[in-house]
This record gives sequence, C-alpha cells and structure tokens, in this order.
Amino acid sequence: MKLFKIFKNGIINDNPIFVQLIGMCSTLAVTTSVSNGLAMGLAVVAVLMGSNLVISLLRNSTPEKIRIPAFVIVIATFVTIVEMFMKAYAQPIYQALGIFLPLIVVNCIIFARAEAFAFKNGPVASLIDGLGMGLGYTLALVTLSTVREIFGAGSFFGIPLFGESFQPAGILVMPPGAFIVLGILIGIFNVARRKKATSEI
Amino acid sequence: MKETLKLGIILFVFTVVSAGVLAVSNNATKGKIAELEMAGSIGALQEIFGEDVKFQPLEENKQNQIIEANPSVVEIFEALNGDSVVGYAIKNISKGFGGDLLLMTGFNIDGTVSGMRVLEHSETPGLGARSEEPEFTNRFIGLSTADDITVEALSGATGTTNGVLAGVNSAREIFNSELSN
Amino acid sequence: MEGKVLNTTKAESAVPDMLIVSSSPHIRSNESVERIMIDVVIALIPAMIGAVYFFGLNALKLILVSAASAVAFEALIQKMLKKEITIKDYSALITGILVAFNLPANAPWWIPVFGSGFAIIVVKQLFGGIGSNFMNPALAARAVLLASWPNIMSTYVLPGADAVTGATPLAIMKFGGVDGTASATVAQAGSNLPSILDMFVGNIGGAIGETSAVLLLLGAAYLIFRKVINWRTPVVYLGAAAIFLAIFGVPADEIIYHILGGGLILGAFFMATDYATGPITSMGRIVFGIGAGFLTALIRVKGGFPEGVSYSILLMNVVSPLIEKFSAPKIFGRAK
Repeated sequence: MKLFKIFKNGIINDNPIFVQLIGMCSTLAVTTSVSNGLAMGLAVVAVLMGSNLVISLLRNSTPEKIRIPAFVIVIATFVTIVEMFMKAYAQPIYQALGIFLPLIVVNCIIFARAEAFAFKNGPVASLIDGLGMGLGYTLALVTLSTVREIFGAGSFFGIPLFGESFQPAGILVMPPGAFIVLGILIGIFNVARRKKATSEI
Repeated sequence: MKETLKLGIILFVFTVVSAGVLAVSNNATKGKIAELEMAGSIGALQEIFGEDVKFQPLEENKQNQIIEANPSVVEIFEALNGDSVVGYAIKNISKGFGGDLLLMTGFNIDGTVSGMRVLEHSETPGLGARSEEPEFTNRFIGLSTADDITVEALSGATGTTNGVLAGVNSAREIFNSELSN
Repeated sequence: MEGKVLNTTKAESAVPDMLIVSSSPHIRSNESVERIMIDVVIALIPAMIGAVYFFGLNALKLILVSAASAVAFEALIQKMLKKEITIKDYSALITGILVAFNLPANAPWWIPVFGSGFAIIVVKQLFGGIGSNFMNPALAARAVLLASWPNIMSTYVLPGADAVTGATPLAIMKFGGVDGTASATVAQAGSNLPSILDMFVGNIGGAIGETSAVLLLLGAAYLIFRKVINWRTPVVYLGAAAIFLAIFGVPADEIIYHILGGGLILGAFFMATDYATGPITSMGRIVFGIGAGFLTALIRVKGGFPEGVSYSILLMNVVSPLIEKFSAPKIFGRAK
C-alpha cells in the first residue's frame, strides 16, 4: 500500500509540473504536438526509472561528498542510451525533440528525485517513485500538448480534426501559448486537487 | 590526501562502468543508425532521379579530393542507369536562417537540375520550414547549370531561400568543374 | 485635481473600500466605477457611430458581437469562480467595444468572440478582475489575435459600401504600395497617401474604431472635461511619439500621418489612460507617455509591423509598477 502511495504522489500530490513546477523548460518547448509530448514524457520515464534504481542501489557505496558527480554520471549514461535507441528506432521523434532529448541530463526532476528520494530509499520504492514522477510529468505534457495541438494546429496526433475552414489559433503552438495554457492548467489542476483533498478529510 | 584518492577512484569506477555500458549500447544501435541514414539518402535520391536508377557513392579518391577542396560537401553519389552514369547528387551543408541546412541536389549529366531536397533544417515552422515542401523544391527541376540558379523566394522566408540557393549553387559549381565531363 | 481618489473598486471585489491605493493627498468623492464607466461609454459613442458610417453594418455587427460576448464571458467566468457578478459596472462592455475597435471591418464574427473571451477571462478575471489586471485586456486580446490570425488581422478594408481591401496609411508609408504589398517603392508612397482631411475625419483604411481622429478626440475631450482621464499620459504620449519619429528620420510632412493614422489616438486616450494598468502619479504618467511614444516610434520605423501602438502600451503596462515605485511622492519632514 505504501508503494501505491509513492506512485500516486508522483502523479497527483507532488506532480512535478503542476505542483512542484520543476522541469519547465522542456515542458514549454516540446509540447507543440501530442506525439512530441508523449515521446518526451516516456523518454523521461525511462531515464528516471533507470537513474533512480541505480542511484538507490549504489547509495550505500557512494560517499556523500561525491554524490553529485556520481548522479551526473549515472543520469548522463541513461540519457545517452535513450538517445541512441531513439535515434535508431524512432528517428522522426528523435528529430522532432531535437536538443531537448540530450537536455534531459539537466532536467531538475531527475536530479531532484535522485537527491530527495533515491539516495535515501530502497531500490523498489525508488523504481516506483521514478515511474510515478515520470508518469506525472508525462500526464502534464500530454494534457498541455493536447490543448495546444487541438486548438493551435487543429489536429490530434497529427490527424486533422476539423474541416478546411477551421482556422486554428496559431498563438497556442507559439511560445507565448505554452505559458498561457500551462498557467491555466496549473490553476485547474490545483483547484481540483485541493477540492479532492478537502473532501477526503 | 588518502581520502581524495579514494573518492577519485570511486568516481573513476563509475565512469569506467558508464563507458562500458555506453559502448555496448552504441554497438547495438550503430548499425541501425547508419542503415537509416543511408536509407534516408537513398530515398531522397530515388525521389530525385526516379525508382529505376541505381546509386553508388562516388569513387573514394575523387570524393575525398572534392571534399578537401570544398568542406561544405558531405557526400557525392553517382546515379547509374545500367552501366552508364546519368547524373550526380551532391549532399552539402549551407547556412539557413535558423541554422545549418543539409541539402541534396541532383544534376543530370546533360547539365540540368534533376531535383533538390532539404534533408535537415532548423527553420521557422510555417515560414522557412516550407522549404521542405514540393511546392518549393519543384521550382528547381529542369533549371540549367550553365548560369547561377535562382528561384522565386518563399514569402516571408528570404533568408532560408538564399541559404538554399547558396548551397545549390555551390553544388552546381562543383558539378560543373569536377563532375560534368 | 491630482489627489482625487477614484473609488476604483466596487463593494466586495479584490480590494475593500477602505484600502484605496493612490498618491497623497487623499480626498474622497462620490464617483463610483459605474459613473466613470458610463462616461467612457458615452465618450466612445461618436467613434462607434463613425465606425458604422465608414465601414457599414459589418462594423456594427462586430461591435455588438464583441460587447455582448465580453459581458457574457464576464458573467460566466464570475459564476464559475463563485465571485460576485459585476457586469453592471459596464467595464466588460467597454472592453468588448475596445476589442471590436481594434478589428478590421471584414473580420469574421468569431474573431471578436475569441478576443473578448481572452480579454475578459485570461487577462482580466484570472488576474483578479477589475482593477487587478496587469495589462490592458483589449490590447492583450489584439496582440493575441494578431499573433494567431495575422492574415485576418492585417487585411484592412477601405471605407465604403463595397468593402475593398487596401493598405492603411501606415502600411503605405512603410511598404509603399496601395494594395499593402511591397510592389511600389517607399519613395512613391507620398502620392498614394490620402489627404490630411480624410485622415482627420477617418475616411481611411484601418481598424474600425481607430480611423476617425476627430470623433475620438471629441470623446476624449468629454472624458477630460469630466475629469475621468488625465491629460498627461495621452498628450505626452502623442508628443513623444512625434519627437521620436522625427529623431528616427521620418520627414516632417509624414509625422502628421503617423499621429492621425493607426491606433495612436485611440490608444493614447482610451487605453494608455486605463487606471489599473498605468501609473497614478503625475511624474509616472509623464514617464509612461514618453516610454510609450518612444516604443511606438521605434516599432513603426524600425520594426517589422507598420503599427506598434498596442505593443508599446502593453510593454509600458508591464513596467508601470516600476515607474510608480520610482515616482512616488516624497514624504515631507523626513530627514534626507
């Protein structure tokens, strides 16, 4: 039951984007289409689970003083592996994500979980935490990119939804649209979360 | 001192293991990546010259000699119909508005452009990114290599158009001086 | 009349009545939000009539759709957020009219609906409602519309029943051709410009509410007479724009076109004077006007767009708190 709580924490109570507001750079940049948002989310799930597991396993043999460089090595290794495999087996997505894929290395979500969770907890809990946080990030990206793609480009997963005469609001797929939509989503998410929290008590 | 050494050794072990893991995954993916890159080039070549034509990289000595003289050139292919060479395709890099453009320009042996593709770019979506579309690339088909190649600019993306033209024209000069005879 | 305190909040909105923020000295008056807003509506009526006269019934349709949707969105979002519904203060109505004033006459009906919705919901209510918005809602809506549908928002109709599209005087000065393209050279532009009388009356291409300088000035004079707006911001704004245009090398005979054309008069008198988004100190208002004038001239002469009023006012809205901080009156009797 405790594991389920850790999992739920990552998705709802401590959602990295909507609640902790970390890892925003890639969130704002890649969410111009649902396929990009989903792919970026899954890449982060893979890296986060891998790095959390390895850091947790090594936590007793890693001295405090060098834990940060050790985290960097572990995380960079996983990011590079994900990058290589995406380049080989998912080339269109690899090209669409561009620089933001290698930049997962400096995504604060991954560092924050390594420092705050994996370095202090066992491997199973860390793996679940990585999965929960990664899926929480993915949830935020997919929601944001769904709104932006449907109203900003008139399509969903690249499939046009409306007729020729529909003129999408181009600003939503431009950078200012990312900020406007993300702000509104954070507001809605937190209202819903608080309402649920008070009704549970 | 002793502690510093110990920490250094631990980090060294981390990096060694990391390098090993990366070597393994590089081995697992590098064949596939090269294959995809080749397939990308061949796909573009077939679009330019047609399905029946066979392709092979230009003879290595000559290719290296050209690349040494023109560092923007990436690769050169010969297009063969049976045994006779029907044209050449030059893959080169040019400077666009948002970054490098990777272009492939095909030339028929009779001195006309058989086609042009923008293989990779980082231009603005909706403006310079339209340079990928057939509506723009078709403007190059059939132009003579005797004079400087010019086409109508993409509206709102003169910088991208100029970048593409610079790349195509530098390929044209190489074709005229090194390959056409 | 500097110290007159305007009761900018109504009963239970964001700031209670006791907490009015303004520069000293403080004198209470009976004015209320409704009274001020009704004056603004009255001041906008001449320009509205002018818009319908010059651009026909489609202009009327745009104004009605825009105003109605602004009021409806205000009621809807306040109900959803469980706030008191304040549509009776007319502020949403004014936002709706101003959004419509910024549209070309041939815009489809959903453009003002989207614009009013964005202005009211995102810019006004999500930041706390009347008095709490950090930028002018109508101008923010214009910026969003322009970024989203640049083709619709920059194809202007010339006055007349046949609704021919054509370039605004600003576009003619910037790009040359009467058809809004770069076909003619800028040197030829002079012969394509309308007469100054047409510019003044409003018989020119442009957004429906911005073309008639004389009708806008009539409304502005009423507002200044009623002391609803202060003359400092608009007058300094227009003066600064003219001076900076001259500094940037615009010939003297074209500066009058810059002042009368585009949204400068509408923006200076009806948007830059917004209480919530501009400074309230005299010095601050002058700084605001100079800054907005400089940015307008800069965008019009050096920028990619022919028009820059909306962006310059929005940018000055954002720096207003800073201007206010540095222009606050000194406290008497305090040791230096």
